Amino acid sequence: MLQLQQLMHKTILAILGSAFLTLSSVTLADISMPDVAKPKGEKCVAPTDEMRASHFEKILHQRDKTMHQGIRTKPHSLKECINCHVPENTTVRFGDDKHFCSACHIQTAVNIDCFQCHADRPGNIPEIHKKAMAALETNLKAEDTATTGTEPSATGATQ
Amino acid sequence: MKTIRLKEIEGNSLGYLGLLALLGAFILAALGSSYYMEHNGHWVTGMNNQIVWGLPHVFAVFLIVAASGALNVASISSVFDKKFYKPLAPLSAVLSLALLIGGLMVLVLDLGRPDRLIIAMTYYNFKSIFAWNMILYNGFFLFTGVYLWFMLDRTMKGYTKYAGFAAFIWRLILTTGTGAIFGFIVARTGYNMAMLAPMFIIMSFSFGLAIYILVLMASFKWTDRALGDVVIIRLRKLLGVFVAAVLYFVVVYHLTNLYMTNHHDYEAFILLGTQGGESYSRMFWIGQIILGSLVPLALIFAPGAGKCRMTLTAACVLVILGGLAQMYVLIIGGQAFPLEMFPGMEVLESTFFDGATAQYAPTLPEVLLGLGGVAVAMIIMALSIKVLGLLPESLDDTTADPHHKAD
Amino acid sequence: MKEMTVNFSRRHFFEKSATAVAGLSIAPGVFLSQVAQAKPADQAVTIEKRWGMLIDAAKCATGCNDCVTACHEENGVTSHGRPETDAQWIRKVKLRDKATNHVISLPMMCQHCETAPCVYVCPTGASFKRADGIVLVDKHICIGCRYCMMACPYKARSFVHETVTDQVEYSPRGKGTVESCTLCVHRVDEGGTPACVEACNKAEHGAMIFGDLKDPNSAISIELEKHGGKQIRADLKLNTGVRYQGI
Repeated sequence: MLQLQQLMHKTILAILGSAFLTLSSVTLADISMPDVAKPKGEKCVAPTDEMRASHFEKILHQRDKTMHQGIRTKPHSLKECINCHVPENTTVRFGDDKHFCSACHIQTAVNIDCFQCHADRPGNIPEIHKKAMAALETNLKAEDTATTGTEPSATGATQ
Repeated sequence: MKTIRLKEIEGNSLGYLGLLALLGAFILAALGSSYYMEHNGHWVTGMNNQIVWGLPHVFAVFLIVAASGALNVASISSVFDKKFYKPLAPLSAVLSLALLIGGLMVLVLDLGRPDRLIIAMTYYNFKSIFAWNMILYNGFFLFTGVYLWFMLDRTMKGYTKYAGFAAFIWRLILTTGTGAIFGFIVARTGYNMAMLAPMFIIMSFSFGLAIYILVLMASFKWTDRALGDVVIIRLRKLLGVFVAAVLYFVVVYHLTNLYMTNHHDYEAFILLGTQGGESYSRMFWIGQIILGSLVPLALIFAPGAGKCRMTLTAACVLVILGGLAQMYVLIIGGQAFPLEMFPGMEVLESTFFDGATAQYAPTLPEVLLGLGGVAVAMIIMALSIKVLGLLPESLDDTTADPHHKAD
Repeated sequence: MKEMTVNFSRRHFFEKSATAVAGLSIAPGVFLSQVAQAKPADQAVTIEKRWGMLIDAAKCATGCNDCVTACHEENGVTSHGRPETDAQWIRKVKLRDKATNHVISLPMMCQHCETAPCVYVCPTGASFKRADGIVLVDKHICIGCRYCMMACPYKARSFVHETVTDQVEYSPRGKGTVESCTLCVHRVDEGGTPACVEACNKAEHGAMIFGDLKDPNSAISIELEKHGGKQIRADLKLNTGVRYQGI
């Protein structure tokens, strides 16, 4: 009976000890960066550390400005993040651990619901829209050259 | 006067555990249904872009309305200072909380985005009566909770009437708000009536008391406690008054509509079943009027039936079923009737069912979700009477009313 | 980012050309699809403009569905073969006047009311009206309660009944939220016109005009002054942004 108890104690200690070592080794080791596709541009709109710490605040702030005030600047727009960070027509979708957003979000276990509504990869623009925007750009450019006689100044549409 | 003691039930019997198991099974079914609807999207239900609120809302609104009315017995004891009702009051308060929880659960689980409940509790558009309702429901939990505490806590008993008064006013505002959810809608012919708010209040009295009587009778019977005729006769008459009052409001509502020529199509839809409204017409006449109002009145006021528990039970069950029918006619019938966008014109074609009576057939997940709400309310009652001292040890005639005249 | 400067000569040119544009009311395509000045991206919308539409039911062809097809293609609104639950941002309605037997058709969409019932009833404020009059659903805070759908006198709103994937990048839409015609706000903010209006002009029916109701020189204002325009369910006094002729 005593031997059995001692064996039980030893087993419990062994399990607890190995658990402690495993957990501490995980926390002490470097967290490996997820393996995601290379972004398009030279650099992000803000330093990486700043983005890691507060990208959600920037996106949250921007979404209210876009939604309620029609401010469609590019820097903190979710659409533009996706345009840069996710390759067009990629087969890697949100939910895969290779998608730019879900790679970290899965690892950190932070649920986001952005992509229940938003496109998780760029490029899905219907033909009708492409044609309309191309025609609009031509018209606006024509209007600019007609009025000023100089090169067209940048407008929101052509940026 | 003999002190009436409130005592917890033992809660060990096979029957009690069996009841918990049965209610638990319904609750699990409701949770499963809710997951199924949320995961696949609402296309798996009978609700669509024409009938946006379906059977779950019928149950939810019924439970919420009944919740407010279930507090009536307690209010009569505290606000109107009727000693007779005082031992009945704690059960009434817990029942109202339980019914509200059940109703709200069904409502929240049917949302398109139930994961956004926190958003619903933190982003308020104060022009919306729906937003006000959320504040009112939370306040109701607070006020009724405090009221219940004062009722059960010996040291706070003296303040019960203040808490009771506050809870009484609050629930009048709350039920007005619930009625106004429909009454404030300008778009639909069946809804835009100021009457709906007070009608909901009187409906709450009727449904709430019917459920209360059933819960009282069942809990006393299954725990072998004495429930005297005096209590039965009093509650019976009270229910009769409320059922008659609801019938009065329904009559005035329809009479008013009948005086407005532009509402005649809607009245014909509900009363005569024209334009594809046969099912609503049937539910109105047979469910709401005959079974929900006239038969219960007969059962309640039939001469010589004063002490008969069977007729009272039957009346309560019919009032509840009639109440569900009334909600169905109002909520679903009101949506099924087409919006009158083009007066004097007939819609020949539309891909979005303009001008057509909308079709709705409830599906199993919706039914299970609705019943789950009822089960949640009942399981809260069952657990409460075990954990809290809610049921008087005895309500026989001499205990309940020492001054009653034996006949 | 480059500085945006308001170019006054451009504004004056536009005012002069607006009158010319009004005279070209039968000309299809290009001119009519550009009645709006592009707003700089960093500028908030103001109450100085109020976007609206004028639809002439007499010019609307009964069998034509171009506006519906264009809208749904533009915004990624897909059909699942379930007409009762499929979203429809715009639909064609064919009507017969019971007194005269006259048959007309017209497109029906969100009327972008000034005092929109859907905005009043939304518990979270997700249904809102932008300063420039466009009524939208902020799907970030929509809880999918469908109260706005109950309250809308025009049945303009749709509930998304199924999971949505492969959304169009400028038109986010998802399961469990409510949506409706956005007046192609993504196009309007860049100076364009809604897809439905453009398609109607391309088909050379010219039944739909889009423009700024507060600008007395816009094509829509000039047409409204000349031939009038009615609101559907005018008795509700919602002051809709979408008006109709020929009803």
